[in-house]
Amino acid sequence: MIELDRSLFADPPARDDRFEIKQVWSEMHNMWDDEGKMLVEFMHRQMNEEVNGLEIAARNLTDFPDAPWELRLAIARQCWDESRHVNAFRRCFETRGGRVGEYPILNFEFRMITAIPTLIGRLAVQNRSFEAAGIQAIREALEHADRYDPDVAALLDAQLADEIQHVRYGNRWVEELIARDPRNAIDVVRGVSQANRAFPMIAGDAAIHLNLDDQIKREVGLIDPIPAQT
Amino acid sequence: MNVKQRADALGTFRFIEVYLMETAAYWTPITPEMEVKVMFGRHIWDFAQHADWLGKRTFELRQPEHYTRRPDDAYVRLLEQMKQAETVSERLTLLYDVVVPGLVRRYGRYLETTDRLLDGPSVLVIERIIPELRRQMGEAQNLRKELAVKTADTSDFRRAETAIDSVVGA
Amino acid sequence: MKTIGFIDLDGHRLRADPARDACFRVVQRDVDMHEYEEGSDLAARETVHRHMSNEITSLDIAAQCLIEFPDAPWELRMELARQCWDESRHVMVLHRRLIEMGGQKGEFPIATFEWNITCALDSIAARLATQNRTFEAGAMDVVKSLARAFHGGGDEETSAVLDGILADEIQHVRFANRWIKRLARDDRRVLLKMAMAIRFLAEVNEKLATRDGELNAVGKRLKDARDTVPAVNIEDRKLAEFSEEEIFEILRQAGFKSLVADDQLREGTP
Repeated sequence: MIELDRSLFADPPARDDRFEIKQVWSEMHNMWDDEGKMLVEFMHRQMNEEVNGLEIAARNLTDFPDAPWELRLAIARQCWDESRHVNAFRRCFETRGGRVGEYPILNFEFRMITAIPTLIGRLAVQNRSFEAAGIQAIREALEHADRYDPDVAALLDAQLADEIQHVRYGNRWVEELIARDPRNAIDVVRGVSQANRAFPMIAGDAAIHLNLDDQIKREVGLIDPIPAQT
Repeated sequence: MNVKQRADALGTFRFIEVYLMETAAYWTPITPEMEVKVMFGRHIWDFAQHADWLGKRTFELRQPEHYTRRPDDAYVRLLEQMKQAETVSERLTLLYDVVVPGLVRRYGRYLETTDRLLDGPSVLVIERIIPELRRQMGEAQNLRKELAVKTADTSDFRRAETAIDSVVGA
Repeated sequence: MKTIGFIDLDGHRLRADPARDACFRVVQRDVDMHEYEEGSDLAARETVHRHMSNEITSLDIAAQCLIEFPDAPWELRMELARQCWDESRHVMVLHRRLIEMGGQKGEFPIATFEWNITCALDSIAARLATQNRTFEAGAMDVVKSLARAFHGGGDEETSAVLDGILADEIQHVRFANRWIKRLARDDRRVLLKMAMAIRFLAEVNEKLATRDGELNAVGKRLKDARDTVPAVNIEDRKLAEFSEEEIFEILRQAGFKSLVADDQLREGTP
């Protein structure tokens, strides 16, 4: 089994015996031909990513008890959202004949993020980078699913709305924490730099770069945020 | 329902809750009975909080915070008609025997229609609102007994309200 | 839409009275009220009745602001809606207390002066400046003095009721102070509207004020209104976010009578 660099990856999260855990992307069942199982595998993998999202958010609550309450509230809310997503993906692949543990999973996201020692660093990488790229991917997948699979489209549509909220609060709090103490910006740089070293170890040459479109940027508050109505 | 349809429904409910807040507020200074006035005062805050929760939820559904959508014209006409009620009997009957129960029914239909998992946060908001509306109906009922306020004949209004299948405008 | 019209008072355009139960007799001037000499059960009931009526009026005013300023910022409308709820609860608790004291609604004449003035104003900032920042802030002074007086007279229950009400009133004054600053920052003309509102209030007050030696409806000899300024409740005005300068000016107008000073004297602190 491949061993990951302990300076860049924290201990893995717990999983039950049903799961076969892999360390890097190349070890996974990366199916390209669709024998009716590709979607099931994708949903299964997504389910576990949502579990990771939940675990990261939960860990942020326990690791940073002195964070501002409003931020902790947003993180707690994210826990709930990710939990619902787990069940939604599970429901989706089980109705297509899949079962939990049928495919290998990766837990690198949890291990990478929780190795970052600061909350602002974790928000910058997890919410502001990973989830932001994730929502762009969901948006593109949604356009495809809309045409071919309304059930999956409904799931992705709802997930996208929730994930936008996670990126949005991540952005707001990164900005807010830097405004409160400009030295926090150094922790953002450190966190991102750490993640930049870690991620290629997982993805290898399969890493792809996703650019956010303007609609997503606006919704997450990176450009011209949408004003509130009265 | 997709995300946009959920936002539209919640934005419509928000319009209605704001309208009810404003209706109760409109009636407050022009209603003589102190107990009724005081009940309106309490319910103004209920409606405002409902509107606030719904408005915050619409932001999570990819619309502006406090996204508000005008309901179907026929329903707006009914709300306007209710607001013009002249007597306390009409006011209490129209609001608490027709419109609020109708709203509870419409919220209930939303809960039946939406995906309770994917749309969990909306479900939570609505499941908080419904018992409050039911409490309001109970309070109004008790108050009418206490003040011996008769129930007005609002059968036409009730029929019109029931005939509107969906309040969400096109 | 049914609207409440306006009345003329010697050239001043006031808002006509809001609706009241038939049991109430609404009067315009303090001399027509039934204020009794302190110390009797009747005087205590009249005080509670008067405050109950004032809370009804405050509810009417906040509700009317929601109706007449639908484009005000949502957060401000939320504050006004919350105020409606608070005032409703105040009416209920004072009514309950009145009944416990052997009284009933409509037992004494009432006035809706605050409504007549505030709802004659055509901007939300002017109404906040008048109702919340002036009348309700003044009520904080009065209520605290009264709570203390009831406590001194052994009526702990009425004292506790008034003390509970005071906590809510602080919030009403505080949100008005915050919103006035915000509205004035966004539009400097708001300051002019507020200044005109306060002047309007002073002029109407002057017309309706009691004169030294006037007898009221129950034969009590009244003092000149200018000589009956209540002690200033400094502590709660600070909580309501009045600035030091503003509190100093209010103290100056009140002849430097303050409740904080009273407290300090009573507790033996310098």
